Amino acid sequence: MKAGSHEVVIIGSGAGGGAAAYGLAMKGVKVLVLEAGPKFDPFSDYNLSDESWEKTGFPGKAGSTGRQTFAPMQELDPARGTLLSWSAAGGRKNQTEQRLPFKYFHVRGVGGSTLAFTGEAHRLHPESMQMQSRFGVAADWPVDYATLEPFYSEAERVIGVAGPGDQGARYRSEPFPLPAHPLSYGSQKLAAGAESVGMKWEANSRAALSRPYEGRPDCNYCGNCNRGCPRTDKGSVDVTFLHKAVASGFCEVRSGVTVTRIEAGENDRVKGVHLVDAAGGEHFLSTPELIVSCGAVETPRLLLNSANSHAPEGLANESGQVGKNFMETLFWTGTGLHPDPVGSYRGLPADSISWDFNAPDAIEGVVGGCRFNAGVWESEMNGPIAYAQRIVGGWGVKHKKAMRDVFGRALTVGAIGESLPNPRSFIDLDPDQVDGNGMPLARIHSHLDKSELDRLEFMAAKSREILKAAGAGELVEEYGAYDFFSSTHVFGTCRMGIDPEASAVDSFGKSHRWKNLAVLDASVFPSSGGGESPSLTIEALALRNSAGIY
Amino acid sequence: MKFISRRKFVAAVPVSLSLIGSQELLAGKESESPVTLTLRHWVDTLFPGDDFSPGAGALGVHLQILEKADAIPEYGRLIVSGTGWANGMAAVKGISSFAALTELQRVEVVAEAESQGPKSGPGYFFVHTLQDATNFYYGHRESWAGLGIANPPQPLGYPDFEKAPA
Repeated sequence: MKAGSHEVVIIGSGAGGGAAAYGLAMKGVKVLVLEAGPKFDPFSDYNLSDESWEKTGFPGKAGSTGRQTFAPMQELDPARGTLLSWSAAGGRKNQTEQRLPFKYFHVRGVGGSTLAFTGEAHRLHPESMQMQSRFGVAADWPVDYATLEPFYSEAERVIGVAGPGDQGARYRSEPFPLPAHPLSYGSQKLAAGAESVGMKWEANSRAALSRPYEGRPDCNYCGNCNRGCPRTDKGSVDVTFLHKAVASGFCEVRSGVTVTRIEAGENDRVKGVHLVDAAGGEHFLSTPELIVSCGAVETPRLLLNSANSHAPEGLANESGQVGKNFMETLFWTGTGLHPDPVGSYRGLPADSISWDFNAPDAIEGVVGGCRFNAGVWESEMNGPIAYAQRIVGGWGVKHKKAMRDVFGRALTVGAIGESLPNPRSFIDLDPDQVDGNGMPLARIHSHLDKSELDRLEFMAAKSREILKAAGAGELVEEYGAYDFFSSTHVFGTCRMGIDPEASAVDSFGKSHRWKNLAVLDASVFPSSGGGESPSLTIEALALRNSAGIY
Repeated sequence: MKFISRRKFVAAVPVSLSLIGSQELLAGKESESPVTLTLRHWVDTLFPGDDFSPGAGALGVHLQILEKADAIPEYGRLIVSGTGWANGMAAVKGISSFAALTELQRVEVVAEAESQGPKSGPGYFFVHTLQDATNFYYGHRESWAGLGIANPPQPLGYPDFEKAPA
């Protein structure tokens, strides 16, 4: 693609930007993707073949970590003591009486946070898209499941999703491209436990290849998707959507390019973007069409940082909704020890799941659902350092004997629940802190309302019940969103809707006012769903909406 | 034992590790400074060798700690103070150095440091060296013997993942 010949500029190359680039490039539209972070090489950057593998998480390549700040969070409630995080070796994890920020997990790099994601490929529960009209909370999606269904299927084909034949309410027009992965031995134990308490526990739909697919090899069940997949069987955006988009000849990806501001102009059009290239040079790039896909924290930051005389309250913020309605990852993980050797570090992360409580009315007395899954790998309880530091503790002869007794016996139930918006959860610009380009950082305000805490209590209690039924009732660690903000999935800060007074973008992600500006990422979600991982929905939306943009 | 705060414990040593020979050791010279000798026996007490796997000293965990401390002057001072304290405890027992103690006596000294808690100097030394020794020790595949794993996760993966572990 010749320089300057692009028809669309996309800021961000994660699930939204990557899928939009693919959708447009396949139509022959010339796309330029600007990515602030570096390009990762799966074959050399991911350190899973070295004996020191456990000491490094997903590689912190230069420029791959953004910065955000956090506003002070809520006081902890003594009545919610069963939700405190703790481990057998370390005791209580949060030693204060206040909820603490741990991390917003966000990768800056070509492929975005999908580089480090587990790779669950979930469709939203159809009923979770009408939370306002049915339950009076959050907002309704201006598109429904039936509209998205063909795009879900298309995204699954691009990725090579492996899944079971049937997922209940998530009806399908075609089978998953690949058969479901077998359950690991540890997950078989969890399945038996869950089924003994009346729950259905089934194979999860996964963006990881159960068979070789389009030149990529199948998974070898090393259990470390979150540290980056060196085989490329995990369906991160770099090896799927972007790979195909670039191969089409209609897409160029530039890494190490930070967009600092969008320039709003006259006639309700944006003129282009101000950027800093990898060498530190400042430039202005004009574009006929602009798509913002930076995620639900960085997208509102960029829009708010782009305020000018044409958009005094920030770009696309005529409704005042940019940054509002922030929804986070409401999570719980509980780990127990099985009495027998299980070898639980082996297998595909989150290989199995229960959707029994996923519908928005499935939990008695609480609006909003949740799901449960096998979670030992995502909690990184899959190596000797983790066992030594978090379960066994101690030192000397006794420690080494205990390690041999315990290693591989940990079973973990993970749970993620609906996160409903509330007025105290939002993103704004930090008035005091700026990045290296002098632009104010995003500041995360997070507050868990009673409904979230009640849902979390249900998730914790059910996790304990499953573990006990699986024979792993000897708990050794629990960790949850009650006393730590720790989010991978974030949503809602540029809500889409029909009403321009109550939403930032329309049902195609286009700004209600700015004719050549769209947002395609989880910022546009009016509700979070009942614990589904969002990447597949972001991708399906991006495929559908990019088709409507150009 | 008299309580020594961790601040006083560290501040009592105004030297950096580079002045006590760690650089020479890291460069592969055979002579072992008193600090290095003591630290080797200290980490060997934390992670002793047995029929399955070598001790931390044999894997060079003490040298990895010293290498880390080379970049963190305060940590270097903590190590000098901590090893000095351990040798002092040996002297109380009438033995010339921590390294010259029996295995059981070394365990008693480490247990004493642990019992003083992380706000004390010896306890602070214990906590930090245990944390780092854990990270470094289990970063050596030789330490995995007896755990059921022989290799890093890749490139082989776990093809037996559906079955009970052998």
